[in-house]
Amino acid sequence: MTRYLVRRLLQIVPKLVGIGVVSFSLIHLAPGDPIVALAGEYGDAAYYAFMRAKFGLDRPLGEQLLIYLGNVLRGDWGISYTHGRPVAQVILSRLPATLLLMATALALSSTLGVALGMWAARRPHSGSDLAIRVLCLVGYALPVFWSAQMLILLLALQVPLFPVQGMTTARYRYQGLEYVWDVARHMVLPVAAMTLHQLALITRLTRTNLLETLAADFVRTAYAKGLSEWRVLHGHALRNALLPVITVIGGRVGFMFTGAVLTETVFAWPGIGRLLVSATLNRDFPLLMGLFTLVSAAVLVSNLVTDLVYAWLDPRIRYG
Amino acid sequence: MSYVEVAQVRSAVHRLHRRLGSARVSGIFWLGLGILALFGGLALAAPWIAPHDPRAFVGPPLAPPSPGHPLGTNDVGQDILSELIFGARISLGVGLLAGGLAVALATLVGAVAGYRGGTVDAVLMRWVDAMLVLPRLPLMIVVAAYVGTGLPVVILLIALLGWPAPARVIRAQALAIRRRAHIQSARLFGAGLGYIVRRHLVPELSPLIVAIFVGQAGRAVMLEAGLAFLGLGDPTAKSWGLMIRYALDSGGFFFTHRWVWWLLPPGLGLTLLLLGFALLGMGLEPWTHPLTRRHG
Repeated sequence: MTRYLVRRLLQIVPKLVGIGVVSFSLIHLAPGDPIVALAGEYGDAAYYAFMRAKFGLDRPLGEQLLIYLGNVLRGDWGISYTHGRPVAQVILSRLPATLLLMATALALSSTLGVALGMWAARRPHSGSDLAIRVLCLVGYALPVFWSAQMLILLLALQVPLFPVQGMTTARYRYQGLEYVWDVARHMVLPVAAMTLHQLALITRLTRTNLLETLAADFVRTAYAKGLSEWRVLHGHALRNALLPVITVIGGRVGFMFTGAVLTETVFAWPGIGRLLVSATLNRDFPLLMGLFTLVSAAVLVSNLVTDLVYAWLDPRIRYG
Repeated sequence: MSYVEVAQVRSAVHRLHRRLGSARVSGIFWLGLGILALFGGLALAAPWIAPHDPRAFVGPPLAPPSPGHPLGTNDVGQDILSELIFGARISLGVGLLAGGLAVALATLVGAVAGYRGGTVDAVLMRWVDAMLVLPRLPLMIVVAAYVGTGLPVVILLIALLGWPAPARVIRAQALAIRRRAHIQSARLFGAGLGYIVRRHLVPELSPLIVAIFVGQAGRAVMLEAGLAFLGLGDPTAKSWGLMIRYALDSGGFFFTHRWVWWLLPPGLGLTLLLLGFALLGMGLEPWTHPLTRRHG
């Protein structure tokens, strides 16, 4: 396991550098002066001079790349001029809101998805199986920004059960438990919108894998030696069926961030997804690059964690 | 038809059946294909079906549905139903073009890597690995910010970010095909690369290629809609995603029922289109997973 761990950790380094090279190339491939691509269109002379010196734009290209990689990989992305603060600070202040949404949606869709998938696979082609499969199809096909908007229209405006937008009630400054309750109420609709697509995917995958596993020889053997259905399902089939599901869950972090960008925009949720969109519309390029690097690195790390969990669960990977 | 012709047709049908395996082409497949055909017809016949020119200002702004304008008019007085019908062209067109381009790239890289093996394979696959790390929508947003977003750029971007994952699948399949006995013996008998690609590799990969195309096209539709909704797509190409954006920007949904005829239709259209791609993809699964074919 240690050898596997070290090997996987070493593999991450060239990929991180690769991400840096991609964003560096984007800055230099963009038409016009790279300082505009690096610092944005609306900066003043002092700001440009600062960014030019910081990223060594008067040096040869190779040296520029090294300086850029050094800055970017240390998380030193310059100063966002729309916020007037270092990019890393701006991002950190908005990160918790997005993590809260994504983590809740990921946890909900994973547990519910596996449960629904198991339920559907126990009696294939029954009424409940059919209902779950239809739900999956619809959940998969609904565009998240539209279903989010419909949720607002139906459950916040027509039937005012939940708040329309935002993360907290602006009028009151709640403290303690009341604050938690306030955020929880605001979270319901965005989390629902983000969960649906993911839920559909995980349910379908669990169902398919479980059905395939239940047809395997070792399951028949387990039944033949007299184990109960519960023991067969939990002791034998589920462990094997869930392995691919885990890979998919871990590999979806990038897609979930896409969902977060759209959902946060619809619900005016103060996270980094909305920050990404506003940075683009304001042409705040340092912020944009910081966010891009951060999200890419997050995808990289989540892939690594997924692989490690997989290796831990399945010895064949570790020693293969 | 002469007897010989009948026999020829019969054997052609038989060959087709064999290629599809014993898989029953399911109802799901036909439903998906039907939905897509419906939208395809709508897109092709748009100039004849649509009651108005979608760009023309044909009525008072924000009019509710009436016989002249079945879905009312938008904030500048354009007919919403006509916008919807012409929007199918853009949404579907982006899907087909970007999906086709992505699958072409995936097939090229995947087949070369899988069939050649060795260093070529290693280099290509490391490249694919690196591409897979890049988060799609954020990268599209970054590039959109730098390059701008005409519709061709959007299509190209979706395709360039879409091919790496399916390239891996095609590589695995090409690798498996190369090892099969009939390919080995064809090579022993002196078959050249061109012959094997034409006669074995492409035909045997084709079900997989079709399935990947369907999946990629669906994703492309979804991505274009998302980008347009964020206001980062081509502001002149009025796809269904952009219609939703404009509808929301006009506001007024908090006080009126306008959303019923302005916001609901493009969203339902998108959902139905994506459903069509999803159903077709599911219907094609027996072609691509021989295992489910045997059990199914």
